[in-house]
Amino acid sequence: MNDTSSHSKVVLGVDDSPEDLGLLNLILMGAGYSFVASTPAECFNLVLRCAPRLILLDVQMPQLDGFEACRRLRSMPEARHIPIAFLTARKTRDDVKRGMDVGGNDFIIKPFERDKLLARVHHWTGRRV
Amino acid sequence: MPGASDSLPEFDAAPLADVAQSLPRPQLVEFLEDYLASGARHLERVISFHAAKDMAGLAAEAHTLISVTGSYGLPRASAIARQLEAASKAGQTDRLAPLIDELASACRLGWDALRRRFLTP
Repeated sequence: MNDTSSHSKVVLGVDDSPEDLGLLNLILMGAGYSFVASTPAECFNLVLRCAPRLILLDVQMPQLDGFEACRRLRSMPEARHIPIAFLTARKTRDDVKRGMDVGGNDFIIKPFERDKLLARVHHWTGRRV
Repeated sequence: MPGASDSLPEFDAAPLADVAQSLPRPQLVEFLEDYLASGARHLERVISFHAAKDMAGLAAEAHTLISVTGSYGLPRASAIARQLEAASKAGQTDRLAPLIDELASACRLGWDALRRRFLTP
């Protein structure tokens, strides 16, 4: 059964940009989600603590790139079935292949467009992978 | 010579319109003032990295600005930031100073328009 309500669904956002995290927080909370903002270093513990329905994962982060973070998340039993959508200002064919190879599920392009972002979030928070 | 970014508006209120409607005014003011301050710091870092001939730092900062401007309603600045990132990574040093000037101008005009739209009572 698809759960289409956004109420109380947790979305974890992993990004090194406080500006992007701040805007994601407002957009998603305005749509009824609970949003947890994370740096790359914190995300592995936060996945265990907040049990997100979706992880939004920036690709280009200086400390740890999103593809490597995804690979590590997929090695965690707790994160194996959580949808992961990459956030990126650049989406090449190689990026898509690499993202899928490490277990990602989607790409959301930056700059964010609110309606497109929410459509993807609604889609992925209604299912497991 | 006109660039691809010239046809883009300096500011588009649509990306922030829903957020602005849903937030109490004091929170909106705080959020946007914080954003404007951090946006200015990103621009300063672009200028500093260029002066220091740090191409990797410049490319990374330009990459960040693609979203930090575009997601907040500055499409022209976002397009220029994308060009600046590409030029930095390609080592096109003769393009950098003009692009940084364009970016600075687009950011200042866009942020002024944002301030007038959302922060001026």
